[in-house]
Amino acid sequence: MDLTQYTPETWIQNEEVLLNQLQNSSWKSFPLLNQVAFDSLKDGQIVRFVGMIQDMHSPEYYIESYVSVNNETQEKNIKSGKYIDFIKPEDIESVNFYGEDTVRKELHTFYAISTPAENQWVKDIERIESNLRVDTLRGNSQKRTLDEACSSSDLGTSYTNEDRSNSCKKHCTKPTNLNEKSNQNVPIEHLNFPIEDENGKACLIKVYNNEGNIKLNHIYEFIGFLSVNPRLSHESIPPEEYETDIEMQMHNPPPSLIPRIHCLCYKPLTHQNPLVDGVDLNNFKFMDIRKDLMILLTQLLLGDEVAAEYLLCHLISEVYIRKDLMALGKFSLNLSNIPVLENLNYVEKLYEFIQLLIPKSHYLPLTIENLNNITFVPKKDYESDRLVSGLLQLSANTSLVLDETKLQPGKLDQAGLGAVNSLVNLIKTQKMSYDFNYYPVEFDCDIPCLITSEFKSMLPSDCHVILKPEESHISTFNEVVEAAKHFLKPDLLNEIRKYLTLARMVTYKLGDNVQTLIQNKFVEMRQQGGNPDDLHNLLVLNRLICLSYGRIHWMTSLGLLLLSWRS
Amino acid sequence: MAKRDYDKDAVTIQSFLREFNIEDSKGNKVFKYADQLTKLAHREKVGLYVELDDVNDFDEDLCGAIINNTRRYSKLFADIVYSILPDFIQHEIQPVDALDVYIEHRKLMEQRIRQPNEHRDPNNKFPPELMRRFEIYFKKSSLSKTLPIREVKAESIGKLVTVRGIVTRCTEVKPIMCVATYTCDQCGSETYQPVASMSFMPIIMCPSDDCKVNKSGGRLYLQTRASKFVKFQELKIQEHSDQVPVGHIPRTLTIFCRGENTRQTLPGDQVAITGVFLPLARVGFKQMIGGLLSETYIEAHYVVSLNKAVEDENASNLLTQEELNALTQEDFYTKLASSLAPEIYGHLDVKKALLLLLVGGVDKNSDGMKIRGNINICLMGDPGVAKSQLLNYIDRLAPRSQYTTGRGSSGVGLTAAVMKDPLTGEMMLEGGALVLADQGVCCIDEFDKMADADRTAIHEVMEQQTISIAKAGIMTTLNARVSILAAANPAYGRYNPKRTIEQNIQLPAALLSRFDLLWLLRDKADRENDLKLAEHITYVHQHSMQPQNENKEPALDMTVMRKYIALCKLKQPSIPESLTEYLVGAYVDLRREARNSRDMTFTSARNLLGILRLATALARLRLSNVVEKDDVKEAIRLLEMSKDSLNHSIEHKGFKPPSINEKIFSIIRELAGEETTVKIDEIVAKCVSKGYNPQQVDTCIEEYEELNIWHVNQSKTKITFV
Repeated sequence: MDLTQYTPETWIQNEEVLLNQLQNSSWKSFPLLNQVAFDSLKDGQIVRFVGMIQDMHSPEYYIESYVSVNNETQEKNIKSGKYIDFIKPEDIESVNFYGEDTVRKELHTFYAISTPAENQWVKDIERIESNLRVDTLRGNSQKRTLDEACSSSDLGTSYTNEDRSNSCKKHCTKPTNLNEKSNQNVPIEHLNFPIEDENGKACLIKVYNNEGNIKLNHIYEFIGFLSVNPRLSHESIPPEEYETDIEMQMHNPPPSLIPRIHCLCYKPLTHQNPLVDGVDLNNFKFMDIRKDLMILLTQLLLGDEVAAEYLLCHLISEVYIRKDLMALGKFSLNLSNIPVLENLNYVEKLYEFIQLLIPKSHYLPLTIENLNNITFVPKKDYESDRLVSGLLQLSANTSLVLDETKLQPGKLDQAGLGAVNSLVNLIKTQKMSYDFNYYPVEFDCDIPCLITSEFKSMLPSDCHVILKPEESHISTFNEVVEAAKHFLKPDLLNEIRKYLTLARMVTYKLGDNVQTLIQNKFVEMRQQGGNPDDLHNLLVLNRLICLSYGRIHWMTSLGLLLLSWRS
Repeated sequence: MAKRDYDKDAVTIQSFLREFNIEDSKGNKVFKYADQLTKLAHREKVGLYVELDDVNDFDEDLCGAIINNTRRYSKLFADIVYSILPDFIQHEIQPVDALDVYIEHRKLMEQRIRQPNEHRDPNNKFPPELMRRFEIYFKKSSLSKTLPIREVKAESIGKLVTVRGIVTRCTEVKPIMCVATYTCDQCGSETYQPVASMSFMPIIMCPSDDCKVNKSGGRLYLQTRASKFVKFQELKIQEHSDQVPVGHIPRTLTIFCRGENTRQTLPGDQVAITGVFLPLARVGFKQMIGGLLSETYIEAHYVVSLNKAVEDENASNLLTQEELNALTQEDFYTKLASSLAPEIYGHLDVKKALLLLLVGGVDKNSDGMKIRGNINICLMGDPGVAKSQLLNYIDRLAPRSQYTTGRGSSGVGLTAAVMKDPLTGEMMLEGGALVLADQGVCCIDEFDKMADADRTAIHEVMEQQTISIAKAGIMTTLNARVSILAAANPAYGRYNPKRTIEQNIQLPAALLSRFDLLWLLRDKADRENDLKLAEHITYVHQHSMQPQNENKEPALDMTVMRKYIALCKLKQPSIPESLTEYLVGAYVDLRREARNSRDMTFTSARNLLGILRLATALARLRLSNVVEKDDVKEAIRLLEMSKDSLNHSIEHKGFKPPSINEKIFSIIRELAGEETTVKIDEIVAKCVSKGYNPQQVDTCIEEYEELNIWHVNQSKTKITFV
């Protein structure tokens, strides 16, 4: 039987074998909940969801097995309560949940949301892929329902009309309608996204095994049974019983808004680039693509080739070692001397291209209002018992472009100061202290920051590059942008996207001779008043340059490196 | 598993309650539980706390059974206590509340209406919950471990567990119905309904014989005053931050407190709770929707608010024997020190000093005299010598610490501020960084950037360890038992060797003398050192770890360090008599030296205290209760090193080691004063008293004669300055 056709009842009978089979097969054949509309899915169907863990709930206890007694024959049956929310009502049976035969086990619920700050091109590719599949799948499932119409009818009907209309509403209409439905919360806030995302989805993932490996802010791909029974909603509980309990509401949202997935299996995802799968790292033409990318970046950076090198390095940087306070490999970049002209939004134009190249990025104009009003750091809300997300709750390798050219003199309030402080900490240590009211809890993160400013930024950075624009480029920047768009043919664009992700995967080893070279250079720098941080930067930069060429050993990079060292 | 013989257990429990006794200091037998039962019987007490340690001493088997099936035994205990309680009545019982009176009346009425032949216990008809005016609680045994909240799992259901956490939420205390009492509007008889869960379905029809036989259909009405209520409070506790694995959200647990366990805690408190872990039985609609999932809670038996001290003690217990063995190796001092901020290369002496700061010396409080034990350290140095990194590391390592920068804090922000409450208009005290860091470390970066007026605000803290406030009608003294770790840049941004130390530091002497140690970290380009540093850094980049030191062991983990330091703090080493002389001698030497070489730092009586502090901290580090001579030696060495770091940078102009000749010359200059001639005898005598031998004096005189600074007369008895 095709793996996609299993239901919780059939799955449980042969769990181990099937799980093994699932782990060793491609998961692409399961419908991707991120992209597929709810109305094409059924309750109890196996689905796939890719998302970032935003919150973790306290463990719940489910009944792994219980005994049901047939009232007529007095026959006892042992039944399983795994992977389902409700027991199918059968009148002739009576069940005692608190009897001695009931086995309770722990399960863990995770709140997962669509990858925050995921760029449109990634979504588009995924949508096209999954739509193709759903079409074929839909044909299948129709056939199946015809075949097994009788046996599966009660499952099908429990997915009631009301629910169907709910989910339709969600997809067909704008958020205002949802607002009416859940009258206490704005939907975006309800879903708790760090960055607003109109098409974003959220799921409650119920994990039965190996939950210890799941970490906050990491991205996973989950496979499990979909559960959208409207009875799961807090709204189905009479208001007089739980009128004021916000926690109740938050933990039992309507499944039409936040479906449940009873997870069978999950795996962590190291990157979100759908193009990369199956590309051979060894045969990838790093050099060629690099040349093209450099042309593009140089043009975008107004003809400054050295700045383009730095930007390239920044785009492929990631933290590769963490030790106590140090996060090695981070390479935050401060591009200063950005031309500020009345009719030219230079940074926004630049970001348009960055957005096209990397899977996850976010542009944040650093205005006084933004700093004062946006929540940056996630905070635990004990009233509703959930982690209220903040802008900086981002998964690893989500680029953050901080546009300081938008900053005007003004007064920062307490929140604004906190925001600046957390940004400073983020850039310096790549760690975030989430506010748990009674104590802070630290989480590692890896958010490369690109700061654009007119003069040296107020935020720290690993590398400060003063842009040296060519006059001709500034005056004709709009044409440059057009030319660049023209230059980025779809094929090349896709290759560049692959390149930027693959460069991070290249294994890198520092050769002994390069090491000596660097050490000697450092001693020289010390004589002129450099400090140890420079050496760290030097090593990181050397690594990034090597990676950008896709080479494992690289020796002459040093020359370039030192030539361009001008911070 | 064989079923337990509960009847037999009942007998055991009864004898336990009656007979268990311990001997007090005078050798008298104290019947611990019998005494408590007497109090219960007279309604002077409500809770009976059964300590599992005692049960364990009495009957080990029973203790295990209680832990595994706590609810059952709690009931069993209650039944037995109820049955034997009348035996403990010694005098007339005064009713405490309305329910007592009510129970009394019922009993009397029962007695009056009962048939003469019928032998019935008067309590029989009432549910036991109604008649009992006591509560049974179990206290955890000292053998069982405290579980982290994360470890409370399905296996623990129904068992007695002890968890620790921080209270994040608690509801108001509300009465919860324990036994509902109804009266019938037809026959007047009473009906009782014990309630065990969170909600109940009221009985409507009268079940009494009268009504049933007559089919009169009597309706029941709830009698609020006759029903029994207990206090009820729901708590939420959350894991401590150190129990949360990296990348996880702290978990929470719901606690139900009844009766005597309510109102024990407030949000933010650290608590240890012993209780029974149970699934929440849902009733009513929630069960109807057939949830296969159930939430869990702990029914509290014993709630304690932990203060900081208890917690520290517990933390040290967690250090395993292996870790301890690894720590108490010979060179553990160096090892611990080099494990501080291992990514920062070198500065071993500074790290040693910081380690001592974390451990701290011993406070002395006698007859109102207070000598601080906390060690204050000031790090001065060029930009980029990792001062801030050191501070940051200490801030993270110390269990309690505050980090501020001098630029951003005013004196008020550091000490305490008086604020007007916007709502009530009352004056309130708000603690600043130093108050918040009480019994911890306060790291102040950019100390030099602070305004002078603000800096003086911390003089008091540094010596007296208190903050006095006299403002707006509030006069008070707050504790601020902090170690101060300050970092400052030299006055001109970078250390300028062409200027004197005073000019470079530009901090008042009053402040400097309050620092036990003052380090100058200079960023001198030094080929060899730089190369080593470079190797160190490249190694870290390549291997993602620190280069292994000589004994091939990696740096200690932060948590191990934290635990060890907590363990050290428990020791209170004292200084034995025998060391006094040595200490005095050492101090006198220091003073003399300071006088001789134009010392820039101030050697004062404070230094002697500083040495004592450092020495006691060293003894603590060895987990010893006595200070040894080596401790004092090391303390003096550190003090000298710190002085050297300052003095060297001056004398090092031209990279010359300090010459003896120069020192002797300065002595002679001093001796000469206004005169131009000095007797050589006098010079020799003076120099010898300062520890130079006559030969050295001779060479000095000769050398300076060659330089034409003075003339020596023919008979070599006098020198005359030119």
